[in-house]
Formats: sequence, C-alpha cells, structure tokens
Amino acid sequence: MSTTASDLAALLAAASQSAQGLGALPPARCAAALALDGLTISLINHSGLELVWSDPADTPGIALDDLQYTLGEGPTLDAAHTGRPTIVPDLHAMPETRWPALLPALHDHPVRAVFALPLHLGVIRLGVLTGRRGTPGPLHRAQMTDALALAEAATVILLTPDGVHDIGSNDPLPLHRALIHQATGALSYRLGVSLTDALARLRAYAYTNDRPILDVAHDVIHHRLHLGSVFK
Amino acid sequence: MAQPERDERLARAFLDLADTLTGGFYLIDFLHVLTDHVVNLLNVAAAGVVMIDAHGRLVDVTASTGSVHQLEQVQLDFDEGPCRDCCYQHESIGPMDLSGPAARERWPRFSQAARDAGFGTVAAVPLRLREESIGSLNLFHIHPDALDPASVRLGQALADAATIGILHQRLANDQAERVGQLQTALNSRIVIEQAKGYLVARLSISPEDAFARIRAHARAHQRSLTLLCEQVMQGSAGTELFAIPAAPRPDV
Repeated sequence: MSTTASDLAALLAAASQSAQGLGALPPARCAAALALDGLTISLINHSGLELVWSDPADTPGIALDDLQYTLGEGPTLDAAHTGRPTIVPDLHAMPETRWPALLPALHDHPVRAVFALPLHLGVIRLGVLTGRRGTPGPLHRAQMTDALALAEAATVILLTPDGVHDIGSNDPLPLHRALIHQATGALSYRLGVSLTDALARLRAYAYTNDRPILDVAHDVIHHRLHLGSVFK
Repeated sequence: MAQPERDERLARAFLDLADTLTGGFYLIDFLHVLTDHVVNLLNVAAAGVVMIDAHGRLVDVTASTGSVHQLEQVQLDFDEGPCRDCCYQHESIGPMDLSGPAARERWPRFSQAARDAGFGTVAAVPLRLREESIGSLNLFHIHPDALDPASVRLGQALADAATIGILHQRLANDQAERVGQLQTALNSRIVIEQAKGYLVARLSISPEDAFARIRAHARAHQRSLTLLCEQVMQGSAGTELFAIPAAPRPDV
C-alpha cells in the first residue's frame, strides 16, 4: 500500500506544479495508485453533472457516468446532492429500490463497486470524484485516505486559475457531453420546447430505447434521427 | 480602567479581530474596529491605519479621529511619515518625538502637520504576517516621549491579530471567486454547445459551420461568444445570424 500511496503523492505533486489544471493529472494512473479500475470527476452544474476528467480508454467508467446522467440517479448523483461520500462495496448487494432504474441497467456492466466522494470547499459543493472496481469489496482505510486526499487535491487544482482555464479552452479538459448539449439545443428548436424539456426528452428517448445517450445525441445532430413524432 | 474590565476588553478585541469569516466583511469597518480597540486599550490619544494594495501602493486610510485621518492622508500625499516607512520597511518605527530633530528631518511635512494637530509622539507597527506586510498601524500621543513600550507591544499584538483576520478573509474571498469562475466557465462551455446545436437544427449546417458562424458574428459585433450564445437560446440574437447560407452562384 505504501508504494501506491507514494505513486499518488508524486502524481499530485507533478500535477499541481504543472499549472495545467486537471489535464496534468492522469486518471488511469491515479486509479492504479488507489488499486481501482477507473476514476472520473464530474462537476456540478445547474443542468446536472458534467464529466470533465476521465481516461478516454475507460469505457466502463464513462458509461457508468453517462448512465447516471441519463437516468438521473446513482452514487455519483447522491454524493453531489448530499455532499457526503456514497460508498457501494457491491452493487449486486444493494436493494433495487435504492436506484431502481440504474441497478438493473448495470447488471451486465463490468462495475461491481463504486465509491463517490464529493469535491467541496467548505459548504460549497463543486463536484464528485467517482472510483469504480470490477470486483466487489470495501475500500481499505489507507485507500480511503488516499482517495480523500485525491479529492482534496483535485479541488485545489480545479480552483487554481489554470484549473478554470482548462475548462474554458477546448483542449486539456474537453467537455465529455458536448454532443448532448448540442442535441439539446437542436431539439429545443425542432420541437419548440425549452432546453430543460429538450434534455428531458433526449434522456427519456435514450432510456426507453435502451441506447447510450451520446449515440442518440449523435443521431440528432447528424440528422439520422428526425425525432419530431417520436418525442411528442 | 480596572484590571478585570481591561482583561475582558482585551479578550473582546482579539475575538473581534479574528472573527472575519462570519457575516458580511467590510475592510473599512474592520479597520475602524481595530483603531477603536487600540484607543480603548492602549495609552494613546489616537490611532490610524494605512493599507498596501496588491501593487504596493498605500491605500485605504482609516483612523479613530478626523484629524488623524488627515494625518494618514498627508503621509500618502507627501510620501513620507511613520506609517509609510513602516509599510515599506516591514518593521516598527519609533516611538519618535515629533518636535525632535530626527522626526523633523525624516518627515518634515508630516511632523509639522502632526504637531499642528496637537500630537507630541508617534509610533508605527506593521500589519505583517511573516514576510508579507499588508499595512501599518499608527499610534499617536499628545505628549512628547509618552508612548510606553508596553503600549507599542500591545499595539503590535492587536495588529498581528488583525492581519491574520484580514488574510483569512482574503483567502476565503479568493476561493469563493474561483468557485464562481469555475461555474461560469462550465456554463459558458455548455451554452456554446447548445447554441451550436440550435443553429445545426435551424440552418441544417454542421456543428463546425455553426460554430464558425457564431464566432464570426460575435467578432463582427464585438460581443462575447458566451453572451451571444445565451441570446441565441433566449431567442434575442440578431436575425442575420440565422440568414440562410447563400447557395454558391452557378457559373454562367
């Protein structure tokens, strides 16, 4: 455990000295240092959570985040709403009533344990650090300590001027759900509804048709999906 | 003042000066609290404060009386005086006899003004945390050689407490501001994507072309990209943004 902890310390030190915001912190290596299979960071926004930090190869982790976004429930959202860690050592052991839409959807998913830690500054909630693992089991005390240290360091990095800059520019921190926001704008025009309604319909369509919301958004933008009648 | 009452006031003073994170904070009000406590607790006739801004300029004068307020302003106007020296030298100045040759030579205009205002002695202690000075506190007495070392030491202690309070407050303020910037940056990214999608649907163009069009329009009208995108989504953007792209003229 001591080797992984020092790995994490080195990664955090390098990232905070780089002045390149979260872009300088490699999600896959941080996950490995915590003995997890993947890590993501989402920021709280008035329209929901925005995934801003993930490893592009972390398909299961990104899918977990997108599913929670589509369904509007899950450990990451709970951590965002309550401001407290949401620790799920075994998704299969959870009563289905906890997240009635998410838990069945995750059944064939390579995710068994989820650990969602809020990023906060005093009482201000900024976002959530979500870790996942393909095998069930708790976080050991040392892992938890490291995960909390990572959450704290990520908050500090986000609040440096560079942390903000990276989100404002296009490169190091691309907005994962950019296409969904485009589709929301497009739908609001085509259907003559508010952005909130347009997003709700996009999510509903993805859910009822059992499709990834990003795929649906792609079809909306590239005119493969003329949703008029479907959405009304 | 009786000793128990004085102890209680001292404790009150340190609490007031540490308590900068609850409720609204206004620097000028806070500096008035500092000078009021100084005058109440120390054997001084009046007290004043000068602050240094981020560029090293002397600003934000506060004082326990109107005449001292003018004396602090004199230091800024003539660029001389104990508060000014204390701010730049990061160490305490005096006590100095205002009619003595040292003071007259060092601050000719300030010491004249101070004597005219009826003061005989002046001292200054820095508002300092480690290497950083954020201002200085001036102590005045009407008699020459009347400022005792105990008063100056207590003045420094109160100045230290005030400095910590001010720096805490500044840090909390900076962080709150950055949280706001982070939210603004995120919202800006989102609304730009939404506006791109809106143009994609309305004009049947690609997202790249939509963005190019929005950017060109914002530049031509010297408007911020985010503001323009907000207007697109609120339906208040200029109509030329939505003009149908002209079909290429066929060669005759």
